[in-house]
Amino acid sequence: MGDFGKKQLLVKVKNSKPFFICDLLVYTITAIIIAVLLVFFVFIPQKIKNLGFYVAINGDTVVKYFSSSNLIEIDDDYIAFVEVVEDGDKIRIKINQIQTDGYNIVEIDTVNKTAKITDSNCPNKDCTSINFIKNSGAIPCPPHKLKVAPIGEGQFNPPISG
Amino acid sequence: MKMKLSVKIAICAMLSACATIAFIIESLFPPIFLPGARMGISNFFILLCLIVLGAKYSFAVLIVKVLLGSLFSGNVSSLMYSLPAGLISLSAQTLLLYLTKNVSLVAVSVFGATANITIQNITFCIITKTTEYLSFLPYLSLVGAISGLIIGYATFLVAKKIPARTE
Repeated sequence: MGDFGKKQLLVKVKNSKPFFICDLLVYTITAIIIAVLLVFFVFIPQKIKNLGFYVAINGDTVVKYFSSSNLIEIDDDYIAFVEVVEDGDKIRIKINQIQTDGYNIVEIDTVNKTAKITDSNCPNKDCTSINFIKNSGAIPCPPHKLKVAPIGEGQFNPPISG
Repeated sequence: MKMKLSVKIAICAMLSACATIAFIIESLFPPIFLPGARMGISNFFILLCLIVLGAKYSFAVLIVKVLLGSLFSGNVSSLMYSLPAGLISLSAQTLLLYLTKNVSLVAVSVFGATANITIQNITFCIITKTTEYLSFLPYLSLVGAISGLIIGYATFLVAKKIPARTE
């Protein structure tokens, strides 16, 4: 095609309008893709019962919260590094890193069954900008290698209370 | 009048620099409620290069933007999913622009931006072996479509103003 192709492209754009009838086909395909993704990754997971949330650092589960029993399980290695504060309907879990002075504060709403990172001392604090999660998704904090995610069906055995 | 090779290279370098700077500035801002959600302003320069200089130079701008942008922003791991997604979406946009007559630049940009962010998210989930982030996919695709619309229209307006002598 060489220069002839490039020349035609600029001339084509300069002489065209911002909208053609055929654009509707492209927009329809895009809308269908988004709709299919919504069904598979949002509407279907919403029907899944919320079992709780877990926090993992470097792939290892550190803290688990089970919504059925309202219990929190902390990994033995992190017992001294996790602080839990209950404030009405909200539970604030401060997870301190073992090898650095990094921390993340995860807030769990026990009524609405949602989780969010509300504070962190990571460089960009991107994790605090991310909206809360409920039945699906995850909130990552890449600088601290931390992830907050909902507990999947059969993922963990809930602790026996009493 | 045909553009000299030196002029093309200079324009390509300038657009690469602009795309890289836009990429770095965007990475400094926090994500918009979703991990990885950005405006995609750097794609404006890639699309402009595609129209003015052609596919070869636009791919060069994309590669330079992803390589240097990842290095300077300190997020080198993003290379693994930004580059394949960028290459695939730019290929799709190039084919749509060259092969179709009645599809506007705005629609091509919408499709390309949606494809880019979707493929990035899927590649990220495959590489990190986590499926939880797939739930953000529909929202990210929507954000991609909206940003593609804005960027596409902005590129269209700028392309209209480019003087005829650069053809």
